[in-house]
Amino acid sequence: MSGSEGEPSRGRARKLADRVLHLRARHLVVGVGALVLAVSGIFGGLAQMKGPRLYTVAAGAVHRGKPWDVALTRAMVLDQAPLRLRNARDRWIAVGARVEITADESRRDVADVLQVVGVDGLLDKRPADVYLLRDKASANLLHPDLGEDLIFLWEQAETAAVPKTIEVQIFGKKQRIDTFSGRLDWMDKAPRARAFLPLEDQRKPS
Amino acid sequence: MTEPGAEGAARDAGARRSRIGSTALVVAALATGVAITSQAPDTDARQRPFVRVGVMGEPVDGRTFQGAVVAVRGARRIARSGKTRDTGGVWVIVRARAVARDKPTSIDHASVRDARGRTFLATMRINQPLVAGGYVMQPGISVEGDIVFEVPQASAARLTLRLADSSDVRMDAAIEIPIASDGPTVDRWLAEPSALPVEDARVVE
Amino acid sequence: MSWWWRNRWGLAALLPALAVALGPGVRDGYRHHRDAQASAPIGAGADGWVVFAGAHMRLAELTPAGELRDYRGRRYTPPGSLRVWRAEIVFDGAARDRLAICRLLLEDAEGRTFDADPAELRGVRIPLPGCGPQPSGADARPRANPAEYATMTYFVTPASARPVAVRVMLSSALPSYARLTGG
Repeated sequence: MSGSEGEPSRGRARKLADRVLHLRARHLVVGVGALVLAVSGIFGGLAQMKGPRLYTVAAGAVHRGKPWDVALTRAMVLDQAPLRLRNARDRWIAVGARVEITADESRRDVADVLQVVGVDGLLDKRPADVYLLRDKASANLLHPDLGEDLIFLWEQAETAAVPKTIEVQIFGKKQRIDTFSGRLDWMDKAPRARAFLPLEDQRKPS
Repeated sequence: MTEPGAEGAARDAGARRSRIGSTALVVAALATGVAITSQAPDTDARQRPFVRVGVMGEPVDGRTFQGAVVAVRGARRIARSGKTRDTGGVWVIVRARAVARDKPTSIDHASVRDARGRTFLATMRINQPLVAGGYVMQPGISVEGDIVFEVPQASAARLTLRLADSSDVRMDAAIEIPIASDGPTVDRWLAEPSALPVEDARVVE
Repeated sequence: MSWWWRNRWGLAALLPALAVALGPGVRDGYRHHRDAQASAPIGAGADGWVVFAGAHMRLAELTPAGELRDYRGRRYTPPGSLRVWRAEIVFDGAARDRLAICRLLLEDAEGRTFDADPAELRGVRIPLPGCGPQPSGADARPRANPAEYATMTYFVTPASARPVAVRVMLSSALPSYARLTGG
């Protein structure tokens, strides 16, 4: 029989161990889980997750990834482009890039490749148009293994200042199962690299 | 007072066997479930199109229409609607003949697949004469026209054409016709400097 | 007592339970598919008019089209494998608003349907198809009753086809549609 008074400390430890081992499975699992969580917290497991690190690439360098490889070439301010400005006195912020599809199928989401960051007065985050440098036609479909030189256009309000340098982010996507449809799809659009490009003013002098 | 040792041990052994048996049954059920779901086709496989494969020159039934490949040409440059377009790869122009079965039908999916399994949709750099809204076919009236693709040079010699009446080919009929040529033919296409004209679709008499 | 006997009621209920579980989904899916198609034609009443979507309409004439010209005034001759048809449809005044966006189809004896203003007639000077009044000069004959108006619509079929009706469709009214015969 156990539980008599004046037991040595070793006996108490054994008693505790016995009590733990005889706990119901449910209580044991909860207890172990809470212990693991607490220990991970000590080692930073509960710290807020930092955002993904963005690689900085130089102009002209190819940043490889899925579903496209991208090399940023230049950034310009234009007053004319194949697309008409919504407001006649605004200007175009144009970014040149060579884009090559690395996915296994033609892609229509060309407007998702780049975004310009930290530029005041842009009418939209998404480019107003993307066109092929070779013939100025809209680039709404790109094909695997066929790299194309493209110009991405953003309209900037006339009242906003023209920066000297702009940050251009290259976006990527991941191919995974869409939990809603159950189908394989390109999702999780997120920036994966950036470049700082000097802005060349190519407007006609007024 | 403790219970007689033999009875208690037998009862404990029985309870242990029962627990082991239940655990084994649960594990077996889980394993069976995992085996079944791992073998079952995924959503993309379940919703794949019903493909009818044909050969060049012969009509293939695509449920709402019949399609056939008449000829394949290629070029470095093409001309359409007064504009010339060049490419960093090869223009592949498929001359196809199609007829709707019993209601107005358009070919809204046109693609080629290369030997590596990559899919190239019909180009949008020109207004396509026959596909992608270019032509709505009336039943019983055969129409012939070009379908234009832009592919890398390395892919151009071995392609498989796929046509369907809907841009979403899931669980619907699609026709596939291999349109293989060869390396020297592709080189000949690329060597030709003049632009190949892409004409409007026309009724076949 | 065997396992089968002990579970007899459960086993007996298996098939009905399966039917109840799957039945409504299958039935709804079929109904949804069926209602998206034009499968419920509305024919003419005793007075010869079809009442559809709150408007009255009838087929006044369905004949091979006469001489056609293109926008440069040149005569258009269809290929020998085709025939061009012309349908004159009379509408009452209510159709002006209620059938603003309609689809017109020609139906032949084999049940095939043909679009109005097809690609084969591109470049030919014909009025735009529709259920609303067409501009003057669209070939439709003026009506004695000023509350009515007539439209002229052109179709193309294989030369061997035998048209039997014109369908007037509204996507909001599917699966019902007006089936105009006679003319």
